Amino acid sequence: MRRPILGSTMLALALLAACGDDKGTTGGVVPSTPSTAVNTTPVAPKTDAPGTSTTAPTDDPSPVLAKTPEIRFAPTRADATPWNPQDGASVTGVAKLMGEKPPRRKKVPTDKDPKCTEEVREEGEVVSKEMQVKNVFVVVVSGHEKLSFSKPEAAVKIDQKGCHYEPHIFGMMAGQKIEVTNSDDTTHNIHGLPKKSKEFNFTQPRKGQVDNTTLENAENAVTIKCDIHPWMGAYAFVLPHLLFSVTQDNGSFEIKGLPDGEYELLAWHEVYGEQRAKVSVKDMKAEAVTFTFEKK
Amino acid sequence: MNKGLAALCAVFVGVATVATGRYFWDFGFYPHATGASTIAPAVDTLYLIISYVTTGMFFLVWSLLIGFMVIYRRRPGAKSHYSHGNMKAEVIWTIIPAAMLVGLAFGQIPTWAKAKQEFPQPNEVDKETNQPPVVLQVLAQQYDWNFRYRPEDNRADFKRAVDPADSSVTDYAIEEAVHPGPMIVPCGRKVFITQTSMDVIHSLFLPHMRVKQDAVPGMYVRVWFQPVKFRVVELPGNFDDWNRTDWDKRIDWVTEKDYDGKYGARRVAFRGIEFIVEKAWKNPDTEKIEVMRKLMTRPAKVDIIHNGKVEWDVPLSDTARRPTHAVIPFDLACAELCGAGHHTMKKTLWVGTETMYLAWLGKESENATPAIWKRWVERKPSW
Amino acid sequence: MSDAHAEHGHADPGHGHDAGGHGHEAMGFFRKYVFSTNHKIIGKQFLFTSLIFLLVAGSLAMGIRWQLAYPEKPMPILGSIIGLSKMDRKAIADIQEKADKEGRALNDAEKQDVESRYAINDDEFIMFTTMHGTLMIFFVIIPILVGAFGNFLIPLHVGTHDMAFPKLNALSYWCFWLACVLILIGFFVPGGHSQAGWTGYSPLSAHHAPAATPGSSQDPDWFHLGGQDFWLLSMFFVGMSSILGAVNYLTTILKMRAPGLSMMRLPLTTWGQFITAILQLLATPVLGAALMMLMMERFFDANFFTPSGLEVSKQAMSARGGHPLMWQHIFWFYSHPAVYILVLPAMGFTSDLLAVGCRKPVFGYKAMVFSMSGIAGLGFIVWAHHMFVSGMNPTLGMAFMVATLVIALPSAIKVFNWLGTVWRGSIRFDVPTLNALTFVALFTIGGLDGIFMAASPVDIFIHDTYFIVSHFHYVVFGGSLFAVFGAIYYWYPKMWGRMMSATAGKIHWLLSFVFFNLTFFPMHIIGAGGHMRRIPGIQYYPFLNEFHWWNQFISISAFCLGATQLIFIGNFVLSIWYGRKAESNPWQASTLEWSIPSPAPEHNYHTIPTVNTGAYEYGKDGKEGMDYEPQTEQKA
Repeated sequence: MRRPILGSTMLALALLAACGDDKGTTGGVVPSTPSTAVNTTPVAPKTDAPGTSTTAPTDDPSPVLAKTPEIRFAPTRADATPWNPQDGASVTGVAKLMGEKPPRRKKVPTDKDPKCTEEVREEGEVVSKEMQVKNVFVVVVSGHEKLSFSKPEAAVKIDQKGCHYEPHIFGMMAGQKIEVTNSDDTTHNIHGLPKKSKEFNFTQPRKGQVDNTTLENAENAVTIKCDIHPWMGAYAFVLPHLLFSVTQDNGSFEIKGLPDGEYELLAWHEVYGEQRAKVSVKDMKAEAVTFTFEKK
Repeated sequence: MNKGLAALCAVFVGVATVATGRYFWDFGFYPHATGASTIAPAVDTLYLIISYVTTGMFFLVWSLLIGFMVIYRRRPGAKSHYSHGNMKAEVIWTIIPAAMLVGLAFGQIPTWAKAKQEFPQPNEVDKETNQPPVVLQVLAQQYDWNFRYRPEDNRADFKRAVDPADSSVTDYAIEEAVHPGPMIVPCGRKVFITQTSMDVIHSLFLPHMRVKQDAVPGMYVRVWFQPVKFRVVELPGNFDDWNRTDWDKRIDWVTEKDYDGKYGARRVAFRGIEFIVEKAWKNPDTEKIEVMRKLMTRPAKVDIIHNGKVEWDVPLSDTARRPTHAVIPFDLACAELCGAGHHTMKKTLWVGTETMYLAWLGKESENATPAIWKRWVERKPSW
Repeated sequence: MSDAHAEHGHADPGHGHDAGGHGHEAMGFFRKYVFSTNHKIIGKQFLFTSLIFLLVAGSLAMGIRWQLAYPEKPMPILGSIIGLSKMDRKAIADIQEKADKEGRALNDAEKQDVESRYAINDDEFIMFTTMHGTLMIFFVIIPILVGAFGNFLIPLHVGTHDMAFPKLNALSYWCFWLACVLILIGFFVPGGHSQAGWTGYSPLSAHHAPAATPGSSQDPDWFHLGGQDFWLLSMFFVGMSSILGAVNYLTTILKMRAPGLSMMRLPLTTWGQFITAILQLLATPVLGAALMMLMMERFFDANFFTPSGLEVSKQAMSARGGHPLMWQHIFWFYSHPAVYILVLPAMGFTSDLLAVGCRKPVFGYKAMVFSMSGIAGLGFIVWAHHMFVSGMNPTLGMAFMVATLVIALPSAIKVFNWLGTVWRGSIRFDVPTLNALTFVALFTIGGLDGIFMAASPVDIFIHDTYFIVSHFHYVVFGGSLFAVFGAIYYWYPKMWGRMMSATAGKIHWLLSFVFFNLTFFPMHIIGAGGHMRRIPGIQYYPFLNEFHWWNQFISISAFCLGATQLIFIGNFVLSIWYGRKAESNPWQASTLEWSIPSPAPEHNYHTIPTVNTGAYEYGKDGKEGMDYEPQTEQKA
């Protein structure tokens, strides 16, 4: 039976769906992911077409923040041995900032939610009086190929406490569970913005509520924010291995379980950018590494 | 069966009338938040006039309808009156409502013009208040409000105009501007706001000021208002009473001229104490969970103004220096659906005397510039 | 008049004496009952589909009211369907899995956790309000008023066998059916359905990456479509269905009237459909354009509605050159006439039902026709009263304010004319009459609300508050839906040859009327107090604290109102099989459809009737002691 109108409508719909495919400007192919995550979509990275206007927005809307590091992790060798944190040397070190006086951590107004009673200070630059930098993410970028890693069963935990994220920056393996807890007496809305995995975005109205989510694909410095409390932010590094550490209040870090060999470390700070250093482990001993950042 | 239905209907209408009457007796004809700006009386009066007109029309139509239903119910022997209409009636009930509507329409144009078009000029001394207006910029985002005051506010000779036509409007130095958390304005001066949005359409709603204006991305929209009074609440001496007192009875409305006379000599906390709604609050008296209870915040420290001097960061536990009163802010809400967190876009509007205002701004200048303002200024969208 | 009604060969289910008879093809089940081109079957198809959506949209409303009254309590009954978000389901599965692994039952803390998940989430709440509005407007009210009753009644009222274009008619339904499928799919998409309001304002709805709401994101597993995309596609097909239907209705009414049936002798139901069809024909294409532009914005970065320099969730939007207000202007240019589409057919029904019920002609027939036309015409020049505080030029606001106040006038004229119809009548309080009287009463309240909103300084305060919600529920629910109830009772015998239960009808009417007012009248109060729309509770706003009790009161009334509608559904469904068999003219009505048997036979009229009078000759001494003259009455 001739149904010309119906037929052409179907055709138009099919065409629309097909062309409604990926943006085309970026060519970023998003792998289809198993649907363990929720509420999510991959966010195709947008690079700007060559600007016709001098006021074209830049790709990175946060010039105050450092660029996310580009890391190419070499694949695990066929003869890799399973990683054991007890078995091997610890590479330790400290992250410091050049200068005499640490930058002032200004107060963040949290008046939007009177339930956020604790004082919140800017978390971008946490530097001690001795110029030691906290929240620097240190990761092994080469030399890890001789070790093999299995995804930990334990979840990596992130807590919303005092209207800020604890920890501020963390590392995990691709596909590892992220356990999100709300320790505050107010509703939080954790929103992860990965470019290579599915977004997660959900609210936790109750104090003590725990939900699990994950990030399936390796990516550096995934932004995590709270939609309700815009000053809250955290970063996640989704890695193919577990050789990472985050500097403490005194700027110190420790990466465990490294057998003898040559390693390259990358230290990344959200404002100061990245620094690299090489370290060699001989006879289960390694020199301490110092990363010195400079504020531009 | 019809008689039964009619009786039930009559009962319902009777109860509803009594309940409505009781409501209006308690709350007055309009349950708006008390108006606290210069435009509020005009808006409220218009609302009242329309209420009277529409209520009158409502009673007319309903009483005719119900009356006819009773009088002209089908009765044995009664016949309906065959008529296709009456031209005279049509003319009367066309002309009279038309005149009322047209009168209403043209009568309210001055109020609308005043609210939306008669802006104070940012750099000039305003004729009505003899002072320059407070100039502030509002940047709405999902899901918060960001405010910026130009650094040399309050000076008539400040040269850089904050003008929507001027594309360098975001150009005064980001570090020099004050970025308060809440919106803070002095009572009795006009406030000139230029607002826009970072992402989607939001709407600045100040209920007590009768201000509502969409913050549209891609446009700088101007809003103005002039607060005429603010709220001071008497704090109970006993801390235990903070959560149980009927706060609304303790609120006093005061203008900036009256303030010194009434409260100048008192210890008044002017930052930190505000109303809050507890979603689930355990009443210590009844031990029951109450939903949506309005309470007062009890911060660890407050700032107190006393005899024109400011004492910063006074702990509330310090009984010697405890405040006797507190300035309570007004609500600020977003009134345009902007996403899943739309309802969380709550902020406050603090209104106080000029001294409080300058002290506030000074203290707030310690705050961090929200990253979003930094990015905004960097991006300089030229709309 | 025309020979377009030469399309025979379709059967009417069940009763027509002419079953399939003209015999050149024996019709299969699908041609006869499913893909039929008979206007009566298509009308019933629209009716059934819409009633299903009434239940779906009504459940969403129950969820909305539950959240407003009991923000963190688990919702009973519907909680397992609409209360569980994806994260909730996942968390419950995780808890159960953990307990199973350890071989034990859930402990108290876990049980509490699981139970608490059945509460409505704040972030899902916005999806509920969006979809409740969208479904009610486009999938319930418009299809029932125009699709169901327009289709069923127009050929009967003009005295012809079928619509001018029966196949186009079927296409109109199947477009609508496709729209229904698309909108339902949207509920199952990973990001959830659209969360941008039924108004779909840009830029909230305009981008999938970065997405300003979860419903706006696109999932590669779902053809790169998200909830917002399914919403857009679905609305497009609803619009297409409307336009196709409008073409059909206008042609049928203008060209296929029976001999003697001048336009001024048509029943006002038909006038309502006629004027509504003009509105649909002229306004819906504008909606189509808006939707098309928004789809191009989403799929091809067309940048109609998004200016440059924006940032969502710390990610820059690369759009530039558009303006958000443009969406609002184009959208409301359609959507304001759309609200008159939502009410004009119901006004037509009310006039008919009141005339029949009060045994009097409609008071001021010509005035009624002119005021309906006036409403439709003026309806095209008032759209920006939805945009008084949108940032458009306030001088423009003044112009729209004046026009909006003026448009109250034709509606007022109609209300007075209805009062005139009831005046000195002999009122039979059967179910259609009760519902029609309720339309007049509640539409008056809704219309008077319009005066507040038209006054732009007052609108500054009540825009986007519950005052607006109250207004449109009074006109669309209190007005149109009650008229629909009346129309369904009234024309049910013509559709199925049976009567609906009058007892159940009267109980449904009374309870609906009571609970409706208890639900929606207090919304005036909280709206005038500043209670914003689309917020899941007052928990962040101290200035709204005194209204929480009202929210609970409204919600309880709403639950009762929802439950009452089950009486209607039950009555509707059961009467198809168990209703008392109906004679051809159970209401002693004079319009053409009552001169043929109930249910209407396949080709309606065996011979096309000749019309000699207007449609409302009630209260005259007719033949055989009747108090009316049918339209086909032979004049002496």
